[in-house]
Amino acid sequence: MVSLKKLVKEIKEIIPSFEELAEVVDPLYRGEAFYSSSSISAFRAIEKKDLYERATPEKITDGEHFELISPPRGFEISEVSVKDSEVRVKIDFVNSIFADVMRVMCNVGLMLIVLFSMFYFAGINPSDNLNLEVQKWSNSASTFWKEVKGIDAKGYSWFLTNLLDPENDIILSVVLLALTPVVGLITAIPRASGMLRIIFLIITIEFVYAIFRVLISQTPAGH
Amino acid sequence: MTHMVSDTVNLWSKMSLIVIVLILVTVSTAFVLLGIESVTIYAPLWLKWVILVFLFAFVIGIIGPLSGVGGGVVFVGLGMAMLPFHVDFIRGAGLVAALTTSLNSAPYFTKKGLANLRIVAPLVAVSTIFSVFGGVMGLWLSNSFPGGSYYVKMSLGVVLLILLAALGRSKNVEYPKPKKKDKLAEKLELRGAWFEPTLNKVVTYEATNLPLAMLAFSGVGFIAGMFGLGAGWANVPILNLVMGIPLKVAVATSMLILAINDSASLWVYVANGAVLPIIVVPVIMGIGIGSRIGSRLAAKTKPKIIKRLVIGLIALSGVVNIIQGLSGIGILNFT
Repeated sequence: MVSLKKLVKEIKEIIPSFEELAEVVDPLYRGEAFYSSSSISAFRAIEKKDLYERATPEKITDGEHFELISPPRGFEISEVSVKDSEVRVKIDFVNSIFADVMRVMCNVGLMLIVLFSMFYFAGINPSDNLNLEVQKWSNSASTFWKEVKGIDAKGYSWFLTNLLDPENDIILSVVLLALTPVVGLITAIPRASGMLRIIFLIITIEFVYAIFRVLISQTPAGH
Repeated sequence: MTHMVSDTVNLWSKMSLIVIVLILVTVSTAFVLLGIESVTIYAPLWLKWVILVFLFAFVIGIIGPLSGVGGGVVFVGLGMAMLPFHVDFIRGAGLVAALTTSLNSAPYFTKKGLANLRIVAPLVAVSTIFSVFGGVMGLWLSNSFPGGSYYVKMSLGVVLLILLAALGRSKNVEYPKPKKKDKLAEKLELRGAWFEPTLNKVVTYEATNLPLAMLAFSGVGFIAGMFGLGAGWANVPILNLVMGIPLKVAVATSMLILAINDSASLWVYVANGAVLPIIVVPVIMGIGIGSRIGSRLAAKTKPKIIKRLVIGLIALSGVVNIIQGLSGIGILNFT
């Protein structure tokens, strides 16, 4: 009887409570995609534990509400100043801009994917034959699209020309996610200076090449 | 602990949990019923597959953070070995999953200064172009001649076995000792600082060995693009052991590098029709939800058994991919 109670107790310890499980669906980090700004008090439990046990939270900038010591000029990551025993870690403006772009575009992209998926799986477009797709998905991408939809899947026109098809809209939403770094870089370039601006420009040019190379080259896989 | 947790969990999270549990119960029940009664109850074939792929990605999403190895590697490795999709579609889905996962958490790290954009910039200037070349090479290999996909499988198998060797040998250092500075890193001012709550102090660091790291990242970018892998398993040791960046910053910076690299090579896959929504959607959802649960569980406990299980799975998928590749090109015969 005692061992049974012990067993039950051990099982109870293993099984997480409802509150602990609910914590799972709470966004992991402040500032990440889908984090609700209204739930600012809902700190990540682990962070909160650390802060309570080790530090005095009111003296710490949290990275989201950083204080600009001077107007942004070029790249000045994590400049640290100590003022009246207060620790402030300054996060560079370029970091902040890039993070905001990532967060917004990730939210929009994922929401669109979810939205169009509902239409796609509901089968509102008769040209989306999902059973045929399942039968043909062991073929290479080019053969697959030819046999399923009769299209030549090269470049971007194959999904951009028919945006009433939710399948194409999902691909367009994925493209939006893939655009995130370019948009982030273009937004950050004016705020960067010196070598960093040049490097940002180089990366942007590389992205432009990645996007348009397939339109320039007509051979298989863009060769 | 429970009181503290309950303080932090808002109503939205509780409602989300209920919705997720309902979806999971419905999906699992439907899957079981469809599987058992496929003869008597009409169930479209695609629906069974969507559910199966979702559950496959969901489980991988959970065990990824628990094992410390990214879910993308496990997904692509196991997916190529087990799932019936063409290698193009598995790599495309792997890239989209890695991109969404990294885009999800990178903003937090970037705003906090843990993901250091100044360190990321010169590295991705090299790795981005190589990841595009990797994507082009990977698709060329699988499409340009008969049996090309078997060569992709074989190469992936070899990469997975190298990954295992790297996992076994490299021991990341939380706070590496300062190394001799190199001129390029110094000129680009590759340094930073962050507030570390567990130490209750600001930790500063300086990166070094930039030329060597750039060379290493060109290889990592190529492999990531070619196989549709996230490649965090390679990024973190290079940042930590070669460049001397603290582990926490290395992990966060790796996330940002993944977000940039993966999106560059994803363009190649989109432009060649290798992003298939019927596969991509359940994979994003499965890995997205699963990795969130896995991350929470990993914060509490990291059972060694899970890590061993994942290492075993990677080894198995590496070997199976090599065998399938060799069989496909006629070197091995298992019939």
